[in-house]
Amino acid sequence: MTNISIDSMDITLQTRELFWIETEDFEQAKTISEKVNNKAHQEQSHRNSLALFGFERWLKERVDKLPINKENCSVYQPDYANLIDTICNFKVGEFTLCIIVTENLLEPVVNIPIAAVELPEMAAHFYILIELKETEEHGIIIGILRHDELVNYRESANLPQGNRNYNLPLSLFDQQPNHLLHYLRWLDSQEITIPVADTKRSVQEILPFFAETAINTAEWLRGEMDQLASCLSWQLLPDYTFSKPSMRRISPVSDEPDRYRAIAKELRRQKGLIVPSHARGSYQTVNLNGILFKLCAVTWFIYQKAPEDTREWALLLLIEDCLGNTLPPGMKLRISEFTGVVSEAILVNERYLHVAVAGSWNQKFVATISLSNGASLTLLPFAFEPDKCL
Amino acid sequence: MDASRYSTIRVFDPGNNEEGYKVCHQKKAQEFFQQTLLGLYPKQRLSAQWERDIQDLLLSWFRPEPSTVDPRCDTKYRALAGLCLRCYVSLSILKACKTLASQFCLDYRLSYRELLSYVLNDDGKTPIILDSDGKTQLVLNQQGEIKPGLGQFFTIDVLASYRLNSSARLSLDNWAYLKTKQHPDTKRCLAEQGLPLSSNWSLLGRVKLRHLEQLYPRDRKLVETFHTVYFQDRQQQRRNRVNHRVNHRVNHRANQCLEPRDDQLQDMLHLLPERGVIINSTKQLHKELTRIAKGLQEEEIWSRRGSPIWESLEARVPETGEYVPKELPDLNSINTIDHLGQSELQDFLEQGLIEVLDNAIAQALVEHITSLEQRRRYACFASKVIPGFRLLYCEGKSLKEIATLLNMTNHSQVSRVLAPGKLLNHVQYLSVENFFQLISTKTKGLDLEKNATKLDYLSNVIQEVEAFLNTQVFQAAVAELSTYKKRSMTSLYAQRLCRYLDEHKDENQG
Repeated sequence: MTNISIDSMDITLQTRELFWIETEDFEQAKTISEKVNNKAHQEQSHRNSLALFGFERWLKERVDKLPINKENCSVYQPDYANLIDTICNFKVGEFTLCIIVTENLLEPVVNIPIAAVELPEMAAHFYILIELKETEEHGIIIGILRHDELVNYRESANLPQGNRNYNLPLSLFDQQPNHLLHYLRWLDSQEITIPVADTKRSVQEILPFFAETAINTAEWLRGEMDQLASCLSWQLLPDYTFSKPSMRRISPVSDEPDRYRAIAKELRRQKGLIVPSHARGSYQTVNLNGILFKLCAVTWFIYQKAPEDTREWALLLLIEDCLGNTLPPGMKLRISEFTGVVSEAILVNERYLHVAVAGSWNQKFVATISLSNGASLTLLPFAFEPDKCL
Repeated sequence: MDASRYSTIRVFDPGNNEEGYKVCHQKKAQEFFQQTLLGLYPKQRLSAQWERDIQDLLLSWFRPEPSTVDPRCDTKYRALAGLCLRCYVSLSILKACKTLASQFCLDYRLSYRELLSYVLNDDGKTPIILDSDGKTQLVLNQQGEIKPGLGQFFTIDVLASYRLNSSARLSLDNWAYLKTKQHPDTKRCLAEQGLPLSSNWSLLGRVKLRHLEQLYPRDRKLVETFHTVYFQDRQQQRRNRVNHRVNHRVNHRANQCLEPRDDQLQDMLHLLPERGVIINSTKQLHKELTRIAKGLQEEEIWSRRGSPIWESLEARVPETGEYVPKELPDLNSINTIDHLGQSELQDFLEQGLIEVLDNAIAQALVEHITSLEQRRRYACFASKVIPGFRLLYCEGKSLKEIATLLNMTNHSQVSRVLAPGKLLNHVQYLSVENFFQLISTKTKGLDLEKNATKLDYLSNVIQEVEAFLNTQVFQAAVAELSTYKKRSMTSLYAQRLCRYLDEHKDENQG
């Protein structure tokens, strides 16, 4: 192409966008970070607060009357500090901004937590990289990156999945913060698609995904209970629970197998949900806000050879009354995966509550049980990892 | 691009005087698309690679290889896959028409609507499949019977001729653009508007007096000689209708000049010395005339489209004379700034520069002072801004000297209060912003307003405007600020800033 247009990238301006941190910023940051209980996270919270105040002042000075909304900003929610290092949910009009605060840009690599990109609760239209020089009482806005550009890069560069962070080259960032202002001023927010949640999740519901531990239900299929599950007092149901009548034995100790078999039969008849005979289940008694109930988790694998070699697993969760107490109406059972709620059920007047989901082998599910009075309980994630079986 | 493009078709609509086409939603296409392609929602945005994969898949269903026996390739399935693709291509064709017509938008001689009737002729509903020859269009009626098609939908022509496996594969968008441009009726329409499809020789034949004056004297004499021989032949032709030379030279039915033959060039060679031009051979003369004709051709297009030719849309292979497509730039980017015209935009920016810069400087300084006033620790320094900048930019004082002159603590305090780099960034931001606002006002009524909120358009315009401003103003301003030890502030930015400061030196001084 013989196009001789000028590429403005070649003639970018080399003046840094700098903002000062004021005495009152330090005071306010101290108040905020003190609410964070973890010492290491406290430090980050302090620095994030400073960066946020400075950046906000810069925005306000540059553009009059920007509709800034910090109401849901993670800086003001101590729980977030334990989840993620970046500043999430800083809103300007319809746009969500995520601020990555760094101390020293020694290497031209920027780490952005995957959660800040993939999770609807944290994803942003723009990622802003700030270098904070606390002792020098200033910060520098190094660059901005649009969500769509980040996603394009992720796809083209084939970034490894499963890590906690995306390692992005600094050069990916637009080094003219002025551009952010033009976007905020003119752009239709719909032009940049970011993950959106149909159902909003609380921090507690997201938290388990950041935990290293998960209940490996693949162990159950081998007739064993993994260590974590036994610590959490899950009890394995006998292997014949969901098998054909001829295979059954009479259980001398409990009637659980019969009851869950009956429920499975009912689900098959009423909902078309087929629990295969190789499925294994575990159950435990749960106390939520004084209400006792039995929670049962059933797992099985799904293997389809054609048309594609798909290996999936299924998780069925059942909540059933215990000791003759009826379950309270409005009780909710919800299963979510990393990027959002997958399925949920609300009790009207049934005897039990159930939700079933399926996913690939590396996918984890988190269950949350809540009552209409707002009390809720989120369990550790359920996983299905045959490779990690002992 | 979102997935709804595969279920929305643009159809020529003569009744619609404003746009010339209507947009029809194809429920069947949408259902098919959702069922077969992973349950994509219509609003789902697709990445370029994803888009390409989807198109490849749909094409493989619509034009199955005779060897593959895929149960999915039943006729109904093929027709539905085709319909999704027709939807997609219809927008490409529409864009192509707009782009082609926009070359003439400056004098409003050709509206894209005139092109639509030829190329946007898909009715948007009849199920069509391709015959085994891969070209003939067959209609699939309601009973599932295959009948010969009545006409040719151009969307299908585009799809049938699209080559997936060629090494220089175009995107489907660009392919549609190319096919639209090569469509005989489009060509004719454009030719009527003077897009040079005529030969060099006919251009030389009808070169106007105005053009002659613009040529170099020597070239002018060559063209005049060409005219003389041409004119003589016409005279002769009137006298003797069977003169074979004339019949060879001028094809009257097509009203086109054919390439001059050797004897005609000989005639010219004899005439040239009278006009003071010496050319030794007919070969040399032929070469020179070709060169002049090419220049005229470029000028003709230039004058019509309002901007110089950047590149031809096709490349001609000299051996075969065939036209080979070149990969075209992204249509979205063509559509944005071309509406205003590249050179027009440059003129516009140049004309508005000083006014925009002056406004930005004034606004940035006022806002700078206001923001200081609003802050406890700095309010008392607000009055130092104007005198401070005067000392810095108009009198070439150092920050240290300014601190002394304005009774401030040290140069670091001056640097915080004045923040010259920050002011520069702010002025740059406001200048781009002002221009953007002016462009939006200017393009009002061109139906571009809604584009202002579109990502591609916005970043394109910002890039253009910024490139201009940075070259004209801010590069020099940044450079002088960073090498400021020399203390010679002479850039355009410094000049305009000083002018403002001089006018306001009596204000705010405390």
